[in-house]
Amino acid sequence: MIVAVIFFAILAISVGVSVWARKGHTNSGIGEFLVGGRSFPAWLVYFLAVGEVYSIGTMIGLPSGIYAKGASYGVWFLGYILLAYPVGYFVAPMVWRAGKKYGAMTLPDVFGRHFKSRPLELITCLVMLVGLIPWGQYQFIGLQVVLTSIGVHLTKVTAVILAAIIAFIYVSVSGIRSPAFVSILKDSLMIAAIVVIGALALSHSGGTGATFHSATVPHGLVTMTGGPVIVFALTTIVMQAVTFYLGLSSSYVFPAKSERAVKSSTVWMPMYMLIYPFLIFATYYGVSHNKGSKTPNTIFMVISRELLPDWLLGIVAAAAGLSGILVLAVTALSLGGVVTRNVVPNVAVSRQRRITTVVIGAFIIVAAAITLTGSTLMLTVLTLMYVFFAQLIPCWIGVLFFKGLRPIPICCGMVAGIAMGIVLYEWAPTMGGVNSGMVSLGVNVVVTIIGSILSKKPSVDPIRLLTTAEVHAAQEVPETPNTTSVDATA
Amino acid sequence: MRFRTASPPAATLADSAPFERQHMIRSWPSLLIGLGIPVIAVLGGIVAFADTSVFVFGIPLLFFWIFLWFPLTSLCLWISWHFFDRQAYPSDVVSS
Repeated sequence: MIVAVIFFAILAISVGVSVWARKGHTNSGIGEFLVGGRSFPAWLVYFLAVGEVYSIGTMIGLPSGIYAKGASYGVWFLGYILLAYPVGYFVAPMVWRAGKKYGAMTLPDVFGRHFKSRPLELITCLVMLVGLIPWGQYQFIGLQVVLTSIGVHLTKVTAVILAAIIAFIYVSVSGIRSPAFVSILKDSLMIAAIVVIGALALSHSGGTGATFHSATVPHGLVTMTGGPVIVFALTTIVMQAVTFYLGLSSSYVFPAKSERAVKSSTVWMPMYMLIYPFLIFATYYGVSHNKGSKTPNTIFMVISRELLPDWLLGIVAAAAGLSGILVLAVTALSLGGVVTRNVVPNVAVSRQRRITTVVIGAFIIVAAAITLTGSTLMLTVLTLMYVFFAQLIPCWIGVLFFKGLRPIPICCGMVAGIAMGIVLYEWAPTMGGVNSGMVSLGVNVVVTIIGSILSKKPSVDPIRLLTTAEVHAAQEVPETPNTTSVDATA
Repeated sequence: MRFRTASPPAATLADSAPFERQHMIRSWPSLLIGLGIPVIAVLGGIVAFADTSVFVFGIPLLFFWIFLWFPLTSLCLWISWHFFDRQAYPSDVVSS
């Protein structure tokens, strides 16, 4: 009972924080709602970004992946997040610059305006819609695990509905600003929870040696054996590290107030990963004590329930729950932005926010409904999401670096890549271990390049060639009425 | 199609206007330290230690190596930021 009381008390506090986050920012234009008026300092960008990264996937997904698939799943998970930061350090400031130049609040804003192509804008929306479904599902699977293990008798359906309602409250109150502040609360709880569980797991099993080396942990579970397993880990790391910033980043890069804020906040992000050793300790404690069940997704909560007193279990559950709800909220928000600004044309600025809110609600309902239809290993859903988002990479490369790419071939490339991704997911050939996203991305790149060679359309200068003065000048003359609200709130 | 910049842009281009064009490859040493070293170390380490029986402080070397690179990656980025990039990103100015 105490578990549930603490759990809900913390959720209530978080809703309070999200309301408080609105204070002093009552200007409720769409720009404020989606990108916080492009005003976030480095520290807030830091928390918004790590808040998304260290989501429920960290606490629930990573242990279940290792438990079900062995060390390689731990290795690629840690590896791609770690290497995403050096990539982001160099790329994210340019992503921000592109967003600033086009007065963009969503990714399709950037692509559509850069190439002056409505079809490209729409296809980008399509890629995002397809990609965000597994992402939403990923959060809901985790939330369902957490909510059904806090000791009150919640059915799957109730659990999912409850999570959906709280996520909706966060963003409908004050847009992107509330998740950023709730992140701080969630991160503090999560760090504490993971460190405590890791330490308890170590002391229960008698140190790291006993945790990893005991007779009950097969050697094969702490190593990666065989070419395909290693190839899978390496290709997944490379593909997802790049996709992390060239695909998923707009929601936490655009709200930054400057390139400096984006770049400098990245420097310290890898330090946050120092919580992972504790999580890995706890996971292997679970492996060695053979805690699991037929449902690997629940392994983290099983370990927690065994090691922790009730009140701490409540805090752990709340931290995991908050992180899932938080990411769901940010995802729904960016999706809402995409539909209002890019799919439905010419929505009056004054109505954009209301429509965004409706779309957010719809997305949450759809993602929740899909989750109830089946249970998949969380990290498998995660890789699928990255396969889809990776298809945005060639377009970003065109926007940032190369003059040669043309919009229609990019569209064809994206569609071919998505189709290939779905085929490979259903067919599941081994391909020597190569991540299927890498293969679909290859198809995408080939189509894009060949099409661009054949295309006669004039080329567009990439962001790389812009000067600072041009970026700021571009802002003062918005290309469409949609951009005016950014200027008004900046 | 004209790939005007099929190869990465020359460092001299950046040097001529460091405060103007802040593209990714402003400074080669920064790129090498901030991106090259972590990528090679992490990926190379995974290949080298994938199937090892060595344990450091009781932790399998494979995991220990990755853990080690959490702080070391921050260090690399800090070196890039502090010694190469910081001056090219003047402190936050409000644009309007």
